[in-house]
Amino acid sequence: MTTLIFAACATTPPTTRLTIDDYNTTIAVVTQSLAASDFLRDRGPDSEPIVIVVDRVLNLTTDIIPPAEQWMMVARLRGAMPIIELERNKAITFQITPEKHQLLRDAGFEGDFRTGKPATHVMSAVFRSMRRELRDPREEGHIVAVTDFYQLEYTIVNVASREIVWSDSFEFQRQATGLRID
Amino acid sequence: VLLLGACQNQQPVGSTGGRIDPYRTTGADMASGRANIPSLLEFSEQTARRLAEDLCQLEGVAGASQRQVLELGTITNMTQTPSGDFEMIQNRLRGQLLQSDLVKRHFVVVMDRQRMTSEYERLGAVGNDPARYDAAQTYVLQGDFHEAIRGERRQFYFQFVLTNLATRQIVFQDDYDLAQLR
Repeated sequence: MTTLIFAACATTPPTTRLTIDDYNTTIAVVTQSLAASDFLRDRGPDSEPIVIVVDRVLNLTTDIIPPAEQWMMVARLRGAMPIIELERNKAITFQITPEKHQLLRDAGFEGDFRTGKPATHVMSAVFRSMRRELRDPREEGHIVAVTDFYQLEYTIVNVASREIVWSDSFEFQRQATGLRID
Repeated sequence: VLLLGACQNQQPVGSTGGRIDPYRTTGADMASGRANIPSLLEFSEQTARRLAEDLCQLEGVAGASQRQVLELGTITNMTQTPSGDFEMIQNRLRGQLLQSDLVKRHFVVVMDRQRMTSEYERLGAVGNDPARYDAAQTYVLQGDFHEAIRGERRQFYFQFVLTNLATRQIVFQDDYDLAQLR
C-alpha cells in the first residue's frame, strides 16, 4: 500500500475530484508494485499457464467516473506491462473481457468464444473514498470545506482458488474550500 | 519574478493536483461528526499488525502443515457513519494482511465464494469453478462497527471476530475504541 505525502504552496483547490495526475501516479505506483510482486517473481516459462481477464474499475467514490475512464484505468495497467515478455517468460496471457466480445464480432470474428482458453485470473480495480464536510450553519447548502480520502486499489484474483494473488493501492487526501450545493 | 520565486522551493500544485497527506487532520474532518479519517487509518494499521501476529499464533494455524484459508466475511454497520467508510477500513486491513510475510506463510487469503462464483459465470471460465475449502481449515473474519452519541461526544467501537467455519468457534476477537469530541 503506497501513501504519498505532498506539500503545496498555492491556494486550496476548489474541488476534490480525481485528476489526470492522480490516475498517472496511481498507474506508476501499482505497475511498479506488480512488477516486484511475489506473484510475478515466482513464475517462469514452465509455470502453469494462466489467462488474465481485465475488468473495469468499480467506482465506489463520490466522483462520477465515465465508463471510458473506468476501462482506461485498467487498460493502462495492462498496457504498462510487457505483454510479449510476460507470455514468453512468465506463461501469462491476457484475454478480452466478455463485455467487449461484441467488438470482435463487429470486426468479423464468427467463432465460438467458449473454445478459447478459459480465464484463470481476473485483474480488477476498486476506487473508494471517504468524505468529511464542514458546513456553514448560517447559510443553507454552503460547505465551508470538504475533504475526500481516496483509495485506488488494484487486485488480481485466481478464479478457481479465489486466492488474492496480488493487491496494492494508492492513497491520498484532497481538501477543497468554498463549495456550494445546488 | 519575485512572485514566482516565492513558491520556487515547493512542489508545484499542478504536478500533484493538490493531494495532501492522508494522515493530516483537516478542518472538515474535525468538524464532521463522523469518525476521524487519520484515526481510522491508524486503527486499520494497528489492527492489521496485531491481527497478523495473533492469527499466526493460533492453535491450528501455527503448527499446521499447510496454509489455512482466511476469508473476509460480512460487516455490520450500526452507526451513522456510511458503510463505505467501514468497508474502506476493512479493505485496508485486508491489504495490510496481504502484504504481511507472516500471513503469507500461514494463510491463503481468499475472496468470498459468492462473489467469485458470479465472476466465474460472467467469464465463462469453464473448469475453473471456485474452490470449496475444508471448513476446518477456513477462518472467516467479520466486523462490527458501533457508536454511542452523548451531546458533543461520540464514542466509536470496532470489533473484529475470527471464526472457524467448521466449529463456529470464535478463535480471535479484537476491539478498538475511538472517542472524539465535536
